[in-house]
Amino acid sequence: MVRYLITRIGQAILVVLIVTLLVFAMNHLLPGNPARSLLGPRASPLDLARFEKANGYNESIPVQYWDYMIRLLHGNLGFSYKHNLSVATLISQDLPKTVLLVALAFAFGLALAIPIGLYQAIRVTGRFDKFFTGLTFLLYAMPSFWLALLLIYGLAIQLHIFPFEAPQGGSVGSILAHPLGLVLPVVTLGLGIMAGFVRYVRSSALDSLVQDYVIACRAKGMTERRLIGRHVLRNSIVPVVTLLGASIPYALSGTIIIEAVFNFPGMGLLFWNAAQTRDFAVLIGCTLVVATGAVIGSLVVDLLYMVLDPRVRTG
Amino acid sequence: MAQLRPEEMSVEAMEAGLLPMTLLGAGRRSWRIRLKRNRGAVVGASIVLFMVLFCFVGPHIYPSDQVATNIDQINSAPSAANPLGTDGNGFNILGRLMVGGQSALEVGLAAALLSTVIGVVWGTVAGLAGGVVDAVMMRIVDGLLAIPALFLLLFLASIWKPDTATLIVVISVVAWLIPARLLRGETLTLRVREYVEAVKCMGGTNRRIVFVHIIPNAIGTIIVNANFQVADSILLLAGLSFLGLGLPLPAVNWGSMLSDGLNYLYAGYWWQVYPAGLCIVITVLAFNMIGENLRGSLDSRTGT
Repeated sequence: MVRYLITRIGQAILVVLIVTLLVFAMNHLLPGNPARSLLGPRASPLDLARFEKANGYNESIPVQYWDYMIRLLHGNLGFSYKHNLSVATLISQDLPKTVLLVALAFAFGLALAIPIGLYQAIRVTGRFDKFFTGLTFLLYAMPSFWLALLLIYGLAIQLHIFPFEAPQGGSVGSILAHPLGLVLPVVTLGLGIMAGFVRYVRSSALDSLVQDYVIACRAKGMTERRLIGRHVLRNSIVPVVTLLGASIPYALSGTIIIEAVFNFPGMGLLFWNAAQTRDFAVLIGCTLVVATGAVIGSLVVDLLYMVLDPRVRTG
Repeated sequence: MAQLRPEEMSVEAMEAGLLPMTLLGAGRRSWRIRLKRNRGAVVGASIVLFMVLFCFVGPHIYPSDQVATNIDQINSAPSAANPLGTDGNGFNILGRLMVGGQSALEVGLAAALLSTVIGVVWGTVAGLAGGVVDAVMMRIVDGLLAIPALFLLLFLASIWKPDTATLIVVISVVAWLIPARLLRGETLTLRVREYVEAVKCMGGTNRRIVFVHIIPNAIGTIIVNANFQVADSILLLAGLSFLGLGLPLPAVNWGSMLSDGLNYLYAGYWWQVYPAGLCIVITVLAFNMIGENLRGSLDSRTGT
């Protein structure tokens, strides 16, 4: 178990290092060079040289990477000249709100996916099963922004149940102060998550339902309710947990669209605005943070899996 | 999906035993019979054919001006002259759907092809090489997979001036990772098969092993995945266009039509929101149907 733990953490660190390399390479993909892309086409050679000296761009690539890593370890993600704020400040303002959105969406999506998938497996090829297989297939094919537009049109504009815009505010507290505004963004993102998981819950539950212990429990006269609730449910969820980690990057991708549609003041919106104004420092900083977050998230999920599944723990 | 893209969890799902691990070993005859039994793939293919005809032949049968704006008839509701109404620039929406679909299909198919080729080569090489080369190649894939696709996509789209070719490359940059992982897995199971051992014994080259033995045997996986890749690429393109980082005007596609329609959502101009969205959903659904049903008919384990 300790060995597994060390390997898994080592792997995560390695992936984060590769991400920093990729992000560092992104910085050098910028048109012309970083100095030119920031100072613009009319900057004088002297200014360019000064900027390069000040930011270490005149050094060799390995030295630059080393300096970049040192800066990262000091929490320096770069400086946004468009916002006139450090990227770390911008992200620390917006990241918690995005984390809240993603966490709520996962909670909503899984709270739907697990019972639906389980019930589908119990009544396999029944009407319920067919309906939800069709529905998830449809949701799968639906661009999230279109789903968002449909929800806004129906529930916000026609029926006035929910506001069409996410709550505005600088902190998580101010977002939570208007829970009604959170509903549509969370539901849109959560439905996508549900569509991704239902089929796996179903498939996993189908596997569990034909195991010997199910027959044994039935033979003992256990009620169906207890059998499903205690045995099948728990055994069906375990393999699905492994997918949680892999799904984090995609949920984070989704936040860009959802935040753009609902004007949710999180990191996705920050990133989208930066892409439109070509604020490369923010783009690069955010990419690094979300990627690292995704790696850490997937590590946590794997560790959680160890707690859930004793076979991994002892094996 | 430009949000959660379930297909990209497929490798993890296979490892967890929730999806068929490999499509190997499906005999040719049974393959045909099973395909015949699978109406879904045929229905999906028919829809794709219809969309291709609609987008590429449609404009010749139903010509409409999609270049010059027409201020006299902006945002008009569906009528005999404009069956699906007009948009904020006075363009006929039915005609615009056809033109918009062209780029969606072109970019979707081309990006799927490119990413499949890159992924297949990368995955086979990594799987066959093994050891350090494999480890390094796959960690690069892991690193790229950790970056949420849309972040990478928006970054690349913001530094390169978008045109059709760039968009195809940009989408492929994020899309090749899944075929690479799938093919590596297939290669790992195939390279220890007796016939591959036999080729090695007889002094066959690695190239021969890859092209004559591994790729043909993994073709089921490749084709199934390619269908999902087309669907995903269409969604990614729509997402990018929706976010305003797709092709600049006068180019048009379903995603940018939706983005424009958003401005008039309050006015209740539903014809600017429903048709374009439906086109995306139907096309993506069709490719997913083909993929899903082929996976069913090619999978030797479940065979359903």
